[in-house]
Amino acid sequence: MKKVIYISLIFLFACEQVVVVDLPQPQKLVVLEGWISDDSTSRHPIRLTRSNAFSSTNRVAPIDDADVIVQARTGEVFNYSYDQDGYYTANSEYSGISGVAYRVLVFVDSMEVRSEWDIMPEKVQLNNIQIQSFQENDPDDPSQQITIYYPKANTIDPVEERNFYRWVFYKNEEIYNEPDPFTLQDDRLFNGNLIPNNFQNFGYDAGDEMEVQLISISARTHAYLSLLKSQITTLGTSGGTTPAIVEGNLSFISDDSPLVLGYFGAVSISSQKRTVR
Amino acid sequence: MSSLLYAQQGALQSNLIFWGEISLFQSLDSLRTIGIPIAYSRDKLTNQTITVTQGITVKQFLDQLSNDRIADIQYDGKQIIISPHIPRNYTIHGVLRNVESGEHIIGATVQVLGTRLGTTTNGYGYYSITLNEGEYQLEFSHINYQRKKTEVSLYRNSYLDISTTPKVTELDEVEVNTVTDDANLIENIPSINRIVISGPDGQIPYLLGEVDVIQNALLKPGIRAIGEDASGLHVRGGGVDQNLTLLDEATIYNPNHFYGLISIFNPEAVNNVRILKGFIPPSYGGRTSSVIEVRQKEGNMNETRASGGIGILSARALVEGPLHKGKSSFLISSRQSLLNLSIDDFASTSVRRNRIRFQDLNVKLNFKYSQSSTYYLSGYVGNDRNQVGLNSTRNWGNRMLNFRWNYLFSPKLFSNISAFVSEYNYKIESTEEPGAFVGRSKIADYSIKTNLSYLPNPNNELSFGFSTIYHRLLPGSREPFDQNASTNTIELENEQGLESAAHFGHEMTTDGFSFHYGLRVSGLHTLGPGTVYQYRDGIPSADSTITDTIQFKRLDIIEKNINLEPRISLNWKLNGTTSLKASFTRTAQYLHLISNTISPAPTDIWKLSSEYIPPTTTNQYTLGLYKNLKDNTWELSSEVYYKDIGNNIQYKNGADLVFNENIETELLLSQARAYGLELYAKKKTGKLKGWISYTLSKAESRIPEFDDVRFVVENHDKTHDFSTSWSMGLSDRLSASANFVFNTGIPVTLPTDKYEYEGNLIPHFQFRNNARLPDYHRLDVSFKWDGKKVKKSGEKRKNDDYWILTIYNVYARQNAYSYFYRESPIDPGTAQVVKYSIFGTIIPAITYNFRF
Repeated sequence: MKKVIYISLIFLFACEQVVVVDLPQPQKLVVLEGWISDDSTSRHPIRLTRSNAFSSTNRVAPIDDADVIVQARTGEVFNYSYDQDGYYTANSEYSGISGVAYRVLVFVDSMEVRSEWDIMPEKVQLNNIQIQSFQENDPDDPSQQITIYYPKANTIDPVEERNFYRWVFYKNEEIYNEPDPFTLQDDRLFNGNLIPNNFQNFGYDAGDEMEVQLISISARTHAYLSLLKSQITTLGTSGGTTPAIVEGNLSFISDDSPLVLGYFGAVSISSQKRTVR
Repeated sequence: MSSLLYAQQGALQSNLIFWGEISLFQSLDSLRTIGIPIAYSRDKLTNQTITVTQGITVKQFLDQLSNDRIADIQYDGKQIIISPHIPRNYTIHGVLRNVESGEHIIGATVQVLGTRLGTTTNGYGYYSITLNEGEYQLEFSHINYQRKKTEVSLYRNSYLDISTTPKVTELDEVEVNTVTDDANLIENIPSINRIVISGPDGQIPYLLGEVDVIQNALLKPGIRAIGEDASGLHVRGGGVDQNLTLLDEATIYNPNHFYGLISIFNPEAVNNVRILKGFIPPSYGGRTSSVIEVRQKEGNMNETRASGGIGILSARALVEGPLHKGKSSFLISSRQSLLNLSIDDFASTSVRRNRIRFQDLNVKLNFKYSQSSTYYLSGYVGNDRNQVGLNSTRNWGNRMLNFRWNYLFSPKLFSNISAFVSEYNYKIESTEEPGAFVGRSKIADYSIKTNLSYLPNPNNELSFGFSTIYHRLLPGSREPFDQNASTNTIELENEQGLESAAHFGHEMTTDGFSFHYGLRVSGLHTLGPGTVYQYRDGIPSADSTITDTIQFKRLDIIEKNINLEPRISLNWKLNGTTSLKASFTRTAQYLHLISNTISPAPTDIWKLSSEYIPPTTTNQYTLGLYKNLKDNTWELSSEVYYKDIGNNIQYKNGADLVFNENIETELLLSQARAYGLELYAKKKTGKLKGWISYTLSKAESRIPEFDDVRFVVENHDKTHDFSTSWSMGLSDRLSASANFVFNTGIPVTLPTDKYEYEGNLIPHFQFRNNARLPDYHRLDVSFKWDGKKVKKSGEKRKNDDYWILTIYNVYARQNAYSYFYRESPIDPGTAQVVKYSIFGTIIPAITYNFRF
């Protein structure tokens, strides 16, 4: 049997060390995260927090005294009330409608924050999910082999429009976002095709509840999440870009006001569940 | 003679009627008496006694007067005019060679002893010097070769090849009175770094014992990389795509293996490297920062030799020898990585089995057809193969083939004509769905280049020529891996352009001064077929602002750019040991590497200048003071420079550069500037040799679209950059060397805030490059142990071998390569700044090298 010798530079030579450095003054900016979807059983929570000094040992602070409403371009208005931990929820369950633009209006710090309008894309169906299994070394005991199960999700991309997707995974009803918190896709490279998506970053064990969501997003949302992803996965590597402000689609309505971080978007969701066997 | 009348010709063939010792006037009078129609003036000629051999003809007698420079003879058809001899100029020219291999020696000084006249061997090892007739002593000197003197009787144009012996070991140079050359003072232009690979300067071992020309260059002033394991050089604040890297005159687009860990230049096959970073002669262009000229060995003309080496990282071998002894030679060399190195990245924990290997093949043939004509054929093929996970493979590499012809039209007119093909290819295969695909990109150059040098006298050299490069760029194609793959076939539009230039230069030396000035007229014609998008307000801000599309047919001229690039350099030799040099260089660049990552990647594509991407232009001003001490044993220099770079390419935040048909919508143009002070001291001979280099500099840019006033330091800016390298013989078989480098940490962007987004802790940044990484410093040492050079019988061994032990990062400093930011694994919600060190430990390595 041919033996190949591998030298891992990272293993032999590289090292990581947590350091303390003097950081610039914090800006304490308003942060919003929220999605409107076509899920009629949801109150579509929106979270408002305030950024904290990077070096602070405290968690980010929730904002609990804001007024939040969501507007549809059709004229509908959805009022929100504060729940907890910075979350605001609609006063009743409602569903977004594909093709309709939505935005959020927030009154905070005696000023108004608005998002840009985001049009909810047409839903693209997740046709089915299959489960693939592989024998791999047990990370806890490399001498043992274990079976890992990975999702394979099949979709048909609509040919007539440009589509952008986000994939979200749940394991036993818990969000599963490690190692990739933002699994994004753009149909530029396979427009109109049957797409068999293999997700070999997301392993399941036998007996797990697997849920896969195919979320149709707008081009603007895709661009925002891509930039956010690069900020948390490639910074500091030779393949990374220079860090920069991740600008979302939110701003105070007065010109000279501080930046608002985060994003408000409208998405449509197709979801499937399976028990891993 | 041909103009003489037939009757006179008959008279010239008659025998003399005198011989033995006779005065000049008597002899001429005697010729008249036998009817030879001669004219001369006793007032002008000097009467002197001459010795005439019995039995020679009148013609032979007149030739003797001429050859002995007693009188000049002119046949005008009616009479023969005898006039006083006027001394003439003659040219001596030839090649300086390595006596062992027959290879030409570049950049050697040719000094006419007893005069201030001299020249240097050109980039091909040729010299030519025109002097008044007479007896001379020429001295040939080069830092790595024994000094050679030769007597010359210059009464006609002469060809003289000189051979000299390489200096053998450092210990041979212990003699205190060794006088070395002062080429650094004589050379017309400032800011040149030379690395002779076979010399002690060129044999500095680097990481894992590899000898590498690019890493070696980093020890010189003004040349830096962004960090360990980072691709590309930043020369005097320029971008990595602003260096013209030439291998035997052919362009190399990606000079890196292993993502920048080492260069593609196999030290076994390379002869020397020259880096021009201040004044760039008019014959070079197309890049705005520097010229890195790498020349392969030519091949041994005298005997077949083999050499090679093996270390932890790679093994290499070379065979060279004569095809026809003294006339033609061959060289073939190969290098192969020995281990599949793992380059798993700390941030890519999802990617396992990320492994890479490489190989190089260098070949060269050279054929000396005549004294005036030599042909060369050189080639290179290199490849990196990177396995990423189980389902993806990337291959990339350079290829080049160059045919070159050196021809002497006359002793004073030298020409070099070359035609080359150069390619850089990238290919990726991914079998994993979604989108199993095969992707390709490529840039290819097809070029013809001519340079001529005319040396009318030792004080003047005129050079002129033209070059044209047909660039063909295939920015990207993507096709399904097989019939089951879900991906579509996509092919970005190819680009093609003709980059042409004509240049003229004049090097002139007067008493104490020398000048080099010239002009390069360069241009790019972007050719069809092609598509040009029109944008609202003429600004390519986004795809959505496209207002129109213009289609161009094959060979239509899509865009035309012409630039005048004046160059001037002045050398004022203040005294025998000091010179002051100043230069101005303007350069234009029509090709741009599209890369928004901290360090360029093999996948990055090149793009021609266009309506929306104007050529990058640079004006550079350099002033330098050069001083040699102790008979040129010490070489000191101090240079200041300032350069402004126009139309420097930058990128929008989150720029989408992959398979983007409208890539101009992702780009921004910045104005950049760089300035600095470079100090350099080199001890060239003696038991202990080495140098100290220090650079104080700044490189910064501003993007008018963002901010009209504020310049921001560039990612590669290092305020202080110090390096020193020394070698010393410890015994007749053991020598040691050490390098120490120190530099200010590169700029880094620190976050002000942290915020949560969907449970992820995100760092927020306000201003770019608002802090710096900790200072970088590192000490490397190496020991060289030579095999026995003498047999037991006392006879010198023909074979050499030696071992090198290298210790990289002797005191195991954990230099920061970067900072990254993460959520504490043990304290959720708390953010951490993490220092990442690529080589955070001591790294010993051993290599074995041989030659037989």
